[in-house]
Amino acid sequence: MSLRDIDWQHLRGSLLGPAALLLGCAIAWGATTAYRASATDTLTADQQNLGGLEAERNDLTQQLEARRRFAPVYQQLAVNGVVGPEQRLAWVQATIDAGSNLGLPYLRYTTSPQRPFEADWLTPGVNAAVLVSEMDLQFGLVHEGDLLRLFERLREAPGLLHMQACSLDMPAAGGTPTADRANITGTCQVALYSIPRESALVAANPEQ
Amino acid sequence: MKPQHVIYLSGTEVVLYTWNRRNYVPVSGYELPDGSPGELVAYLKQTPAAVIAIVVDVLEEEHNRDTLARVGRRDQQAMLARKLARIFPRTTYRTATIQGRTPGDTQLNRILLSGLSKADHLRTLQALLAEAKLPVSTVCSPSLLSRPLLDKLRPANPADATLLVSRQREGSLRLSFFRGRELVGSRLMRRSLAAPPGDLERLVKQLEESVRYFDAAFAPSATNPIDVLLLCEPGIDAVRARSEGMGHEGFRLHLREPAEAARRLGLRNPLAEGNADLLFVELLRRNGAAGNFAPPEERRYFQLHQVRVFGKAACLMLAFSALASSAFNVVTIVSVQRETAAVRSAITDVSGQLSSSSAGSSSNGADPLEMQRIGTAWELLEKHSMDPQELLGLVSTALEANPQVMIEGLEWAPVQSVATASNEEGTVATGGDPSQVETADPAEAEAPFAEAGTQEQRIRLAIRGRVEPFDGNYPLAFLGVRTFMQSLRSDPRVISVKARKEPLDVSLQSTLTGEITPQMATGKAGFTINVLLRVRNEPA
Repeated sequence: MSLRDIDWQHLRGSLLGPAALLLGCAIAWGATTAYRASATDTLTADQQNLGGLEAERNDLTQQLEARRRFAPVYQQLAVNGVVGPEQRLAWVQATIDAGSNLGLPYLRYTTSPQRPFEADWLTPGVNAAVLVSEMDLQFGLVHEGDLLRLFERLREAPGLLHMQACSLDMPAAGGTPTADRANITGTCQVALYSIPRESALVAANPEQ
Repeated sequence: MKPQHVIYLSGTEVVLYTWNRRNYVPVSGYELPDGSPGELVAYLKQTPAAVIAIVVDVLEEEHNRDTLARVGRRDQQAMLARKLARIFPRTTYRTATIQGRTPGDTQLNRILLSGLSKADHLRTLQALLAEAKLPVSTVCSPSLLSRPLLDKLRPANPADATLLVSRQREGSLRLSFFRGRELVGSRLMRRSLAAPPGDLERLVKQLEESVRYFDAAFAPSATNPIDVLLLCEPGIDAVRARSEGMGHEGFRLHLREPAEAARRLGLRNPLAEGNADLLFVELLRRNGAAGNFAPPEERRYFQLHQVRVFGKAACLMLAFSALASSAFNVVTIVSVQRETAAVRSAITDVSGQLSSSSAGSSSNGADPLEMQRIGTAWELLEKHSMDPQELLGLVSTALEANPQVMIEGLEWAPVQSVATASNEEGTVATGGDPSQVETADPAEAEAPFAEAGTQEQRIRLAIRGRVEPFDGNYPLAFLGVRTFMQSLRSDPRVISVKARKEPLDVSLQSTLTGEITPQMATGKAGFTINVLLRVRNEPA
């Protein structure tokens, strides 16, 4: 049957109603689909906005918690000279003053250049970078208590001082200790730590 | 599409049957040749969407058996059209049936060409129906509807040939001849010539004559019988007919009870005696015809009717799908809007929290996270440091409990202990108290502090001293050293205590020499003890 044989009027009479119904339903479907897509886009944008705000809130909460917990520590470390550049001059002067004030028979010191301190328990990114200067001390003590006093005096100097190792000899043990004489001789390895500000590190190594 | 109306056109009348949900019933008709079809057409126009079929039961039906080479579908159609045009040149009511391959030659198909050589009444009726735009699906004849009768009513051990004899409504006899299961030919014997009901003798003669008409070479005999299926024949004694037969050994008469025949054919009502027309009408609804005489141009409104039906179904299905999708969209939109409202509420809350937090936080110029990094670094440094006061305090406590011990020297340094498992292995190897175990290799134990690995940090304290006073009593000196070591072990920070040098080397692997004289001066009971300590904050 060719197109010319088709009785369009005959077809139209029965198909007009279903076609109109189909058209109406199709329009409804198209309209609801378009509106649903628009509503979904809006929801997605709002969800992204909320995600950003929540991330911002988490960052802020983390910063507030860090400030609450570490601001006093930081303030104290800054006052004590742990944070910031190493104050070697003040430290050397403190060593000299300690030797004089304690009346040590002798006190010799040797410092090594400052270098980055590395340890497995210090994680870059989580913990701040630490610099260390090592110093060998040779001394003569009248009494072993002088060692503790010397160490206390040195710790009063700016920076964080840790005594790493010591070797003490007591040649007069068993004999009678004599004042103004080195009854105990020894050597100690001392580490002076300092924690520079990150801005200072960046300024010193702009390529990093 | 099953027909709602069936028009039965015979030589003398036209009867309209309509399906009433159970069976076909006659509702209208007119006599031929002078009757008016107006009433019938008017009735049909009341249901313009009902499909109509026409069964033509006239004398002018002809059949011609032929063969056709096996070719493709389009070529086959063209060849059949040419054969039909050659055999039935003066009518458009013609059809062909493919009956399968020819025995002995697989490259040929057997075909049956059928045509209505004179169809004036049919053409008139078709024109009226087309003018009324009524859909006519099929034009066929009783012979084209006979195959189900053969399949379901012939005996269990059928003969090679079968004659289907039925008494039509107007009193005529319709004879259809089958070889095997295929129709060979059919003829109508008008009422005036056909054997009257019950006259089997005359019927046999007419059957013999008809067999010769259908196949002149076929001679029915006892060895080459023909099954005769007699349908809708009134006035016949079935019992007698079965016992006596038809009086000709070549014809095997088979009579079926009307009810049983109807059950076999799937009809609700028993076959009506003297009205085989209704039987063929019912068969048309249930089985369809083997061919269709109607040319395509006269089936135009049926095809348009199919387009309307399928188009309407497609439109309704698509509309329903669109409607269902729209409903789903609406549900989704409601859900999305609720979720959007919840998200916007959360945005408002979080924004408020951020505003209040930002207002409440005053910066002192330093990044809090940097403060955290610096603070944690400082905490770790403090955690891994050692205080000399603790070490000296440990030794002082032990000395107070052991005044016989004099210290000559002290050394301490951080060491890196081997793994815990190695420590335990060392315990087993020495077989002693775990508290006496020391790092296996002193060189390893004295690794630099800065190169400490992931192992636990320890402090090694070496104590040099002597037992005083010493008067040469070595067991007493040993006891003094052991007591001192025991005092050191009592501190929970101590991991192990081991004597590296004792007042006298009593090792079984060493050589020991000495000299005893009255003037001999008493020697020194010296010792060296290694102590392994935990750093602060480390669990015992």
